[in-house]
Amino acid sequence: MSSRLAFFAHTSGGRISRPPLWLALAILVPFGLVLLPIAYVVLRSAEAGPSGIVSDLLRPYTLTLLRNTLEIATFVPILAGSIAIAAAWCTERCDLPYARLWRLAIALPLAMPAYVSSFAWSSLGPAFQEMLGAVLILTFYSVPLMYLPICAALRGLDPSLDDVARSLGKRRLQIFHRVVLPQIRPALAGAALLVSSHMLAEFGALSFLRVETFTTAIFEQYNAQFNNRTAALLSGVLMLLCLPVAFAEARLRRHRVARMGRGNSRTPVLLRLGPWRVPALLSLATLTALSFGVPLATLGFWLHEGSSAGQGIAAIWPALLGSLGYAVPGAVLTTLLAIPLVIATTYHRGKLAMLADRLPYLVHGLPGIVVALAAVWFAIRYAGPIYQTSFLVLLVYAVLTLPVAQSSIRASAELVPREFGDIARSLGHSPFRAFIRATLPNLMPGIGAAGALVALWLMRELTATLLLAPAGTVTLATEFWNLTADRAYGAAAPFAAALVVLSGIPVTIFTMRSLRTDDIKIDIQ
Amino acid sequence: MSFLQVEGVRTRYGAQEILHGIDLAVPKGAILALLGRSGCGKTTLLRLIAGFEPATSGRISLDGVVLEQPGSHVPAERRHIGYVPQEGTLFPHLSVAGNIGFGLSSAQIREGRVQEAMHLTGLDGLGGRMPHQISGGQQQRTALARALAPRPRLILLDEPFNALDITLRRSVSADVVALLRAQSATAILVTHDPQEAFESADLIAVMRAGTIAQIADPATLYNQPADLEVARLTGPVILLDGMLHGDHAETMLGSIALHPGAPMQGPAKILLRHEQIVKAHGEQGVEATVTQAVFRGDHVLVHLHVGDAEFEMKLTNQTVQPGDTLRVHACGKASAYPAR
Amino acid sequence: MAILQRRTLLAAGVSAAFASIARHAHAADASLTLYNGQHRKTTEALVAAFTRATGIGVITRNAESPELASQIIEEGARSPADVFFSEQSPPIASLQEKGLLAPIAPATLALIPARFASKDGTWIGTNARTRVITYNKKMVGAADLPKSILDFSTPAFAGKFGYVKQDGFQEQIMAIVHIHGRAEALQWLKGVKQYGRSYNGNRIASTAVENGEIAMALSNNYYWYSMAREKGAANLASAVYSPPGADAGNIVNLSAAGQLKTSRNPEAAQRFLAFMLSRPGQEAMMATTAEYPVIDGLTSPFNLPSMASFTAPVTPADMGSATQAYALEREAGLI
Repeated sequence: MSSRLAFFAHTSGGRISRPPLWLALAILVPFGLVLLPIAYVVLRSAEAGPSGIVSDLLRPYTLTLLRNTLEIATFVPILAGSIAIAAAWCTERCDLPYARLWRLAIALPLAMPAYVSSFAWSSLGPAFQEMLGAVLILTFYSVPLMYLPICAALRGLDPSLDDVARSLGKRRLQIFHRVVLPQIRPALAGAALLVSSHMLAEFGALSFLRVETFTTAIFEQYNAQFNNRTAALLSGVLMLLCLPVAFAEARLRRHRVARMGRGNSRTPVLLRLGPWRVPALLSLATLTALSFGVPLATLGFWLHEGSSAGQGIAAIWPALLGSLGYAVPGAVLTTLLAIPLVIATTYHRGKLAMLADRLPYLVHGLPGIVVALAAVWFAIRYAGPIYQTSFLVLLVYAVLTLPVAQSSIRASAELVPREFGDIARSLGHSPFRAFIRATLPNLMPGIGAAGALVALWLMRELTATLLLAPAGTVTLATEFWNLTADRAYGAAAPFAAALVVLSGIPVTIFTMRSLRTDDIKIDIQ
Repeated sequence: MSFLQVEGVRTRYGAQEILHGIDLAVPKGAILALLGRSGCGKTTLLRLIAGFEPATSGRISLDGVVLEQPGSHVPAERRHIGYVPQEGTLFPHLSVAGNIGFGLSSAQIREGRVQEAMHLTGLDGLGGRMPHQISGGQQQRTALARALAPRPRLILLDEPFNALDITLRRSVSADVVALLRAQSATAILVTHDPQEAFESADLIAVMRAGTIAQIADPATLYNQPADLEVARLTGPVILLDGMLHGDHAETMLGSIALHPGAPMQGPAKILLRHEQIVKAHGEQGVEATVTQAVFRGDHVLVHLHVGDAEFEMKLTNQTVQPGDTLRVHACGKASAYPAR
Repeated sequence: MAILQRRTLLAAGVSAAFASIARHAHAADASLTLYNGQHRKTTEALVAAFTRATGIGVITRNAESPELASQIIEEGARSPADVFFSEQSPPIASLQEKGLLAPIAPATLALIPARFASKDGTWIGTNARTRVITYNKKMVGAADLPKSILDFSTPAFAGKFGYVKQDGFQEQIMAIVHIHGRAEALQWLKGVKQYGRSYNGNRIASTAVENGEIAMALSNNYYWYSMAREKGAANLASAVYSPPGADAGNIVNLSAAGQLKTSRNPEAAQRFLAFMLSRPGQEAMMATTAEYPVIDGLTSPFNLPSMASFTAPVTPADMGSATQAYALEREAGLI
């Protein structure tokens, strides 16, 4: 069924219209919100004046940051992508024993925030620090982010293409190279770009691992100088680095290869691993141990060993409620704001819609502190009553995570033909009602996935929560940060553990659901 | 020994046996249709011949070379058997020319094999198009060109015209058959459409629940189906109660000649096809009442009552009204089957 | 039906979540708002003692001190903060320089020596900590320890020491500027960048020394002393060292607090500041951190050496907001 819809969606490209009024108005909200941090960065940078900008940026230090940032943002997606392809091939196309369990095991590190796993690894010794360590640890962290979309793409392939290639004399490896890889390339590249933009914004992990990037330097600037000009300039550079990410993602989607025909539901013939079974199992076990086992064991050690353990346990319950209390409404708001962006660009055409759809990807690569300080600046001047209210935090959350929601919803929207809306209108519904009654219900798988992923992301959010939430707010992430800053690792461990367990729930449900049925095409970040 | 020889092939998925010992022989240059309802195992058999999966037991040989026998399995990529899957299924990331050249060596591509295959299939000038930019019929022909380009020894087509609409389907299928014939290709065509099988094939194998119910040329299959189920699968049937008397049977429509090889006596079911009911001349045949007449352009479909029984017949160059009576009888030969 | 139930559940979950943040928002109507950059355990102990003593509730926002200073500057006149408690003196000095702080009651200022307060009396030092060199006893002999922190900029110490660019480092730079002049300080920073290894926190650097990852580190004193209290000084591989004499390595830094001019509850703010320097206030803080009390007649429960040996001729007030230190760090390519 789903592939039939995909077929229609691709063939209906000719009659794309401008968005209706309600939609145009609806995209102005996220558009305006996302413009704020961009405007803040530009205005603050402009304060430096042209010569100030030159002298601030043209320094050897900037070059070091640029090199480190690009190294992380390049090597991590490449390595993680290679591992993810191999793992996905094993679980989807080979007769791997307990494939279902392995899928979950490979996806579970999603529940482990990067700063927790980096903290764990860096505590093991200096060998795991600096660039090499950072690339490896962040690679392990990023594997599930690439594994899930690659699995989904593999499942979406028509297995009879493999048969055709074999009947034309191609061996397995040639088929992988010439048939499978080109078809999963859009999914692969999309995931790689998003991992790349995560790496641009990564702070906690890199600070544990002693690698200086633009983001850590921006934090350092905010920590060092009580004028935020240089930080704004560095943020500007970071946004420029996000520019190719944001637009390449859109290009990839435009060039997504059309699947031909309805395909068939036959599952592909699983490749017999034979003598490779043991090496494959060992490799996957090693991957799981490195990406999830080691950080988990370290947390366990701190839970058990920490001399300060037990001090903060009474605070876990309020922190847990705090995390949920921010992450869930944040996810709802973000998802609501993302829907019109996706609709406007999937079913309609227009320059404003296109721009509104892309800008969030630009901001997504910025560290939270930049967006948070932009929010302080604007709220103080123009929206005093919402300053230091939960509402402002939720708005900032939305600005930070819109692309997470957009990608998931878009994956669903591409499977829902616009004809659904047309049919509803022919039955007498207004465009808005037609959308609510006919299109929206079919987007629910993507909307659900978007909500889960955004919530997962928000539960880890630290900087914006610290700076913007009403004083006295506690979440698992802020408590973990507070306690590690206070060197109370034993006391911090329960919060990290609670965060991992709490994150594990959406990850498990999400993985099970998305890998059970190929009705849901998933893009995750 | 035939060109393609399938002997006693069995296969199972898990505990369930899907094919229960298939025997099949296809002469060189012949087109065989595998006809059957969905789930009867016809696609499975095709995949075994292609070598995508090994058989549990049995033997498959092509042109004297054993491809499959207990303990030895030549994989698909070394069989040189062309394959056109359901709906053609082109590589979406490759152009028409890219698809057709997929199975060719670069030397073969330099020789112009792609252009040759495109010319053969009427795709000239479309080489640079992507699959979603061409029509359904063109997609189908690209898939065929792709399979033909490496000059395979055998071509397998798995319900290749399913996705096409009915008019396109007839013309594309005729094109493809003409092409296969022009190439003197040996081919197996899987289909559930008897019309397609009749039009395309030299031989039709009717499959049922993992076995072959009958293998015969189209006319024999249509006129002398092995049993009533095969009869129903190959077209509409009229069944009459009758008494056998050697070479003919007595029925409510009078005496009907039987095909040879039905040496039975006593009560039986007599099988007729629609077109065997015709208007009788003079006082021959039996009287029938017209209950409905449907104008169909080149003929009128007439519903008749004969006693308690109902028939349909096609009348050409004539009009009748409901309520009219006319006399009908059965022409040609019929097959007889045990009464129960 | 199943879908309906799921939606109902979802709706219930979402409204419960909204309700829970609404509750948080309500809790913000307390009488005193504290922006806290000091280690949280210390502040929590202080606030608990203050509320017990006065009945005044305190709502605390925790973050890094410089971030909070940036935030207060952005907030300007609308800042909800009443009191800022900074872990180091430069962030609060930056608020002083921008004229955002209110004068502190003379009676409160009188509780501490003048060198522990800003010259204009807008902020007070509340805890003192010293800069030290932590070293690994197995990796460095006593003879190989530097005679001055200035030695770190020589090739002899290449690869042997770590430094942390926050939390005390700027004060150290300012001390070198103060004692030896700007050119010397720049030279030193260039050497440190060339020969030293940068860590992202004093705690991390101290642990790295203890674990033998690096021989020495420039750090704050209390990390080692709290390790020593947990495990026993004799069981540690590391020890602390101070160069002899009036070296720039021997400085005393302050955690400091002040009242915002825009405070809506200046009376409670001043009471809080006074309480910080009171005996119960100091005792509450000293119990949680190996820092020095700033009032007479108290000693830290941690086994700290006398503060008298930290003789660098520079006070926190001299360091100001350490603007010059940042400029020098930039010039040396450290930031």
